[in-house]
Amino acid sequence: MSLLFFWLFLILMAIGMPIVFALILAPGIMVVLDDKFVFTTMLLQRLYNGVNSFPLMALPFFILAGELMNRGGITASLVRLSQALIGHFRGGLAQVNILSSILFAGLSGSAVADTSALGSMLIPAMEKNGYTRRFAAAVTAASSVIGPIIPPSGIMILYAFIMNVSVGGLFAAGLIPGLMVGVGLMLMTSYLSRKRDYPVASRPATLRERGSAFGQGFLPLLTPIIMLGGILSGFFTPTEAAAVAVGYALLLTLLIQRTLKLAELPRILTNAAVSSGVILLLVGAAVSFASVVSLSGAPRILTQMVLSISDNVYVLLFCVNILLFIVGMFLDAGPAILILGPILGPTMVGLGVDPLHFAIIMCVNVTVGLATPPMGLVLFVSASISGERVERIALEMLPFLAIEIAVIFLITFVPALSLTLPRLLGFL
Amino acid sequence: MGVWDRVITPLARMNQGAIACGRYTAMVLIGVMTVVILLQVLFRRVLEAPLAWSEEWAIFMMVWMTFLVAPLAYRGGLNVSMDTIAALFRGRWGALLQIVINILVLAMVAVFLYRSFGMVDRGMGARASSANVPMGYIYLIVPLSMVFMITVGIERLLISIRSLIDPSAPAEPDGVETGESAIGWTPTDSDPAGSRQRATDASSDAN
Repeated sequence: MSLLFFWLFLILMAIGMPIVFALILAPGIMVVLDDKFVFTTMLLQRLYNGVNSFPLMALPFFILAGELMNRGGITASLVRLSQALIGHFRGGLAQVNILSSILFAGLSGSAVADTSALGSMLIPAMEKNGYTRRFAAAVTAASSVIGPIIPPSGIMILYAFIMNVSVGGLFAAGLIPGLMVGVGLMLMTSYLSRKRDYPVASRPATLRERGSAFGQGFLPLLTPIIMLGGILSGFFTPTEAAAVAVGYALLLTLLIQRTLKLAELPRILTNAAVSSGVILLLVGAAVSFASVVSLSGAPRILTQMVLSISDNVYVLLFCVNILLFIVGMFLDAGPAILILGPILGPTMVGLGVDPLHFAIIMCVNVTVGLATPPMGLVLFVSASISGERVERIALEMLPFLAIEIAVIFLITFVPALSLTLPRLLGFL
Repeated sequence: MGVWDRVITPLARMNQGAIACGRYTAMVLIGVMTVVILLQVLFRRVLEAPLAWSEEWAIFMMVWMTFLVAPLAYRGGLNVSMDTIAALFRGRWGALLQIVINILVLAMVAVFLYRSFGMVDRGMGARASSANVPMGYIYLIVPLSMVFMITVGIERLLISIRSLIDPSAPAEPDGVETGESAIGWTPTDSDPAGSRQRATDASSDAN
C-alpha cells in the first residue's frame, strides 16, 4: 500500500470537508483505485468497532456531567470560593479567573465548557472592575487550557482509547502539568498586575465569608475526589466513574442545591447526546483511518525518516513538539490526537520514550493549540463572549502563551514531572 | 427559484422530521445508558451481585445514539472541519467546492449503505455474548443511519447546486438550529463571525 491515502486526506481536509468524512474517504478512494473494493467492508466494520467500546463511554458521561454542572450553576459557587480566597490580591479578579479554571478543571474535561462558563461570568465583571476587555478575554482563554490537562479530560480519554494506554495513568500524569500551567499563569498575572497596576477586587474576605464560600463549593469539589479516588484506587473503571459523576451532579443540582429544574433536563440530555455522537463518530472514523495507517507501514516509514534527522530522542521530541504546535494552530485537539496519535505514538515509543510521557506531551501540546490562532476554538468562544476581536485577544495572550509553551518543554525534558504520580500509584 | 424550492422544501421537511426523531431517541438513550451503568456500579460494588447484561446493552445504546446523531450532525454542519483554506473560496467557487464535497460524501455513504446489508445479514447468525439477541438487529442502525445520511446529502447537494446558479440563495439547509440550540463541536461554515457565534453555543465537547 502506498501513502496515497495520506495525501488524499490532506487535500480533502484542506478543501473543507468535515474531518470525519475525510478520514474515511481518503483510504476509501485509495482502496477503490487499487481495485480492492472489498476493503470498503473493512472500513465500515472498523468504523462500527471504533464506536463499539466500553472505555469510550466515559466520554458521553463526562460531557453530560459537565453540562449538568454548568447549567446547574456550579460555576458560580466555584468563582465565589476563589474570590473569597484570593480576590484581595492585586489583579484579584484575573487571579480568581485562573483559580476558578483550576477548580473547574477537576469537574469538567473540556476547555470550551470552561471558557463559556467562566467567561460569561468573569469577563463582564473584570471589565467593570477596570481591566481592559481584551485582557479579561485573554486570561479566560489562556486559563481554560487547564481544563483538559487536569483530570478528568476528554482528550485524554480519546488518546487512551486510540493508543491503548491506561486512562487512570494518563489522568494521574496530567495533574502536575496542569497545576504547573495554573501556577505559571498566576505568576505571570501577578507580574503584569503590578506592572500595569491592575485593581484589587475586594477587601480580604473575613474568616466567616471564607467559611460560607467554602461550604458552598465543598459539595461540587467532592466530584473530582470521588471520581479520581475511585479510578486511581481501582474501585471503579473510568466509565463507571463518569457515570457516577453524572449521578452525583444530578443529585447536587436537582435535589441538594436545587439550582436546576427538572424541565431543563431534556435539553441538557439532548445537548450531551448530540455532542457525544459527533465526537464518537469521529473516533470511529479515526479508528478506520488508523487501521489503514498501520497496514500501510506509515509508522515505519516515518521512523526511518525521523531517524535520518537525528537519533537523539530529545532533539526529536523537540521537533515533534514544534510539529504538534503548528498542527494545533489549525486543528482541534480531538482530531489532532485521533489522527496523529497512531502515527507519532508508535514511532516515539519505539525510540524509547515512555508511552505515558509521550501521551502527556501530546495532550498538553494540542490542548494549548486550542487557544492559538488562526483556528483556536477557545479563542473564538472567548471572542464571542467578550465581543473583542480574535487577533487582539491573541496578541494580549502572548505572555500567557509563553508560559504554556515553557511548561510544554519542561514536561518534555523532565519526564519525572508527569511520570512520578503514575509511578507512585502503580500505573508504571 | 421556484423549481428548486419545490424539490428542496419537501426533502428538507422529511429530513427535519427524521432528525427530530433521531434526536429524541438519542436523548432517551443517553439517559438510559447512564442509569444502566449506575445500576452496574450499584450491583457490583454495593450489592456484590454483578449484572451480566449492563455493559453490553449500554454499549449498544451508545452505538445507536452515535449513528442516530450522524445525519443531524451532517445536516447541521456540526462536524469539525478545517476551513482556513476553504474560506478563501467565496461565492460560486465556494459552492463548487461544496458540490464536490457533497458528491464525495454521498458516494461514500452509498457504498456504506450497500456494505451494511452484508453486515446485518452476517450479524443475524451471531449472538451478542451476554445479551440474547442476534447482532444483526443491533447492526440495523447502520443502514438506517446511512439512508438518512443519503437524504441529507442529497438536500445539501441540491442546495450547493442552487448556490452555484444563484449565489444569493441560502447556502445552509433550512431550519438548521442556530443560536441557543445549536449544539456540537466546531461549525463547518466558512464565515468566521458565524463560527464564533455558534462555537459559543456549543456548550460542551471533548476539548
